[in-house]
Amino acid sequence: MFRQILFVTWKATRFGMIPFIMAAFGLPLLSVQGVRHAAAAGVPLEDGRITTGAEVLEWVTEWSHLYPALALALGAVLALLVWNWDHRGTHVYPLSLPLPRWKYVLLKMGAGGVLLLIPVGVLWLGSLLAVSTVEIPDGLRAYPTAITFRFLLATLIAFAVFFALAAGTIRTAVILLIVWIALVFLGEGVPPILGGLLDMPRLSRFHFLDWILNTSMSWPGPFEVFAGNWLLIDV
Amino acid sequence: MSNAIEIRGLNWRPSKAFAIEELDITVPSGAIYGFLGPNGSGKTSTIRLLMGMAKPQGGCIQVLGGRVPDDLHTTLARTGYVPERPHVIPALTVDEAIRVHSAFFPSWDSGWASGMKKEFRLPADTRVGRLSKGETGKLLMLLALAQRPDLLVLDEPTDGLDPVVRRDVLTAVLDYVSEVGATVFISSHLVHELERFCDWVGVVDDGKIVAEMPMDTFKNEIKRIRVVGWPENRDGDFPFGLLGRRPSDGMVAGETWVVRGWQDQMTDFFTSAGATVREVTHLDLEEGFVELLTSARPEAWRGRNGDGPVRGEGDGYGTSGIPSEERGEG
Amino acid sequence: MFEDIDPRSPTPLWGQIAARVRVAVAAGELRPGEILPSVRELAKRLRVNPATVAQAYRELAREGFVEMRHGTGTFIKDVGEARKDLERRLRASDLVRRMLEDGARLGITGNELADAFQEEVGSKVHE
Repeated sequence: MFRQILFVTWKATRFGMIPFIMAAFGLPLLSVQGVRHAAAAGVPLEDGRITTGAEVLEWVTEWSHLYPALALALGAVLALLVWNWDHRGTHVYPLSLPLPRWKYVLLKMGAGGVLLLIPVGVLWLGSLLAVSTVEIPDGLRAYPTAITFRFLLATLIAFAVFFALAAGTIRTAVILLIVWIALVFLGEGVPPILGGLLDMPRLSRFHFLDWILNTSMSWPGPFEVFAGNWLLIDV
Repeated sequence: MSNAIEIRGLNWRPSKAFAIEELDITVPSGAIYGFLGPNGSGKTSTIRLLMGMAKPQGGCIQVLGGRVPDDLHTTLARTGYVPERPHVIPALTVDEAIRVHSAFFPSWDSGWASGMKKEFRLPADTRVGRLSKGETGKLLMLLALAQRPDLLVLDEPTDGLDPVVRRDVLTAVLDYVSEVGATVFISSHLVHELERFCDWVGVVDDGKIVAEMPMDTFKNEIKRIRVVGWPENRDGDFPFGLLGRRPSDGMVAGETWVVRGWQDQMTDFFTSAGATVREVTHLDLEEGFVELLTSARPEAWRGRNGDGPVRGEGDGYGTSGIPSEERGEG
Repeated sequence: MFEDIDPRSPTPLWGQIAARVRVAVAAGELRPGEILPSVRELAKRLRVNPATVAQAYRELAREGFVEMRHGTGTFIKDVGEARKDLERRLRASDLVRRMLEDGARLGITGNELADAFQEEVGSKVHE
């Protein structure tokens, strides 16, 4: 059964995955372009200070923001594609199969996870290639595998979240969206008012959105992986 | 288990406009049960509830001895389903669709499936979405039969198909039933088709069962009689079931009564009231079906044996008494 | 032989199938020892419920027209001249009854029908 679900999921997602696969290959290569330039400039090492190193870091850091963005986009698009055909057919076909719904959902998620490995694998290959074609200044190291692993985690998390969202009906998605917007309004609006009434300045200064972002993005928040270290080449 | 399907007191109200109320259906094992009803009467809804695709507000559904939805995954494994609209993934090719489907049914017969694919002349590498209506109909039937089910649930499987394809599809069903003795639950408005091979018939209208009985009984029991001289306001205690009554249409004398359980000696009943029965017409399945649905039934005339249609006064169909040509087979 | 069975007639389909076989035997079209199509085959051909065909065959077996040999098939039996004659007479009565019913509906009397019959038979003799 898993084999056939994997086959169907692959067929549903293969064209959508092409741009991401290309991006996954290209991103590491692009992010080391600066390293080549710095090396070509031929600035020698002085007193052990890593002049070129700083430039390399700068360049790589600029590109590093794209990795989590790609992971997020990949996870989201894959999740939507995985559910696309089901929604179009109003779920009649899977519901007519003698397979409990939870099992079907789990198998689909597994299939998505397996297919994710392709762009992740391509990223790894791209990183290895990128790193092998440049000379890394002393004091810096390349982390192709570490970055790939981080990318895998981030993609899996994004996929899981969007998979859960896409599994529901449009109605559920709209309800969730409305609930979220309501929470944000309340979260941003209520504390200042309460703070003013109760004369608690710290409460007044509380920003709901910032708080959410900070908590989830720092360990042990679930989205820490997106905020962390995305440098292909680092100290 | 003597009944393949048992539905008791089914209640479902998906919207204000439509409801299934206290629906009872019994399909004996091995029967070919024709589920008839006009458009919008609840045929597809009943089937979806049977298949566990919707949740009823009340009632009990048993399929092949298991309860729906508790035992759904065993009942679905033994049920072949052909929906009203194709449910197979359109982007898959015919071969792929067959292969994918086969993975979910342990009783799948792939030899039969390949043979049938050739017999139906289905193009192996064409996407399902690009197949003609006839080919799609044949594919759906192939998928349902290749799993060797104990029960076939067919929702208008031949609707919109040309006569040649219709024959091919129904022959495949009949062939399967001869071989395996499966039960068939088939809904359709193509009354003439059902007439040939169903041995049970259930008529549904507006979310309620209006009649359910063996096919031969339905064909023989319901008759149209022409009555002249029935006294006004004379109350019933009829030896037959009165399903409907219409005044003369002007062309021929006498009222038209639609009755159930008619026997020839019942003319005495009329003679003793001072009336005569001028004519007794046998009704075929389509005529019987139309009569059941079009006759209004005033409260005062409910017969003693009248467990015929339960309908409100004067809603919907009118009393012209002339079966509409638009009803029944398209 | 079975082409004109009519699902709309008041006679059940199994009865119509059995009647066709009886008439064919009476007319000598089906001879003792000949095999009838299998239940599955005939059901497919006529597009009727296999149970209907099975019932027709059982009825014929009960009346002695056929013998159902399990696994081999259904074979015509020699039912004897007397029974064949009876069958022909029964069919003739059926035809006449139907003719009288139709006539009554159109307002034609039995005598008028009898006269017409004589004319038709007469003209056939002279052909």
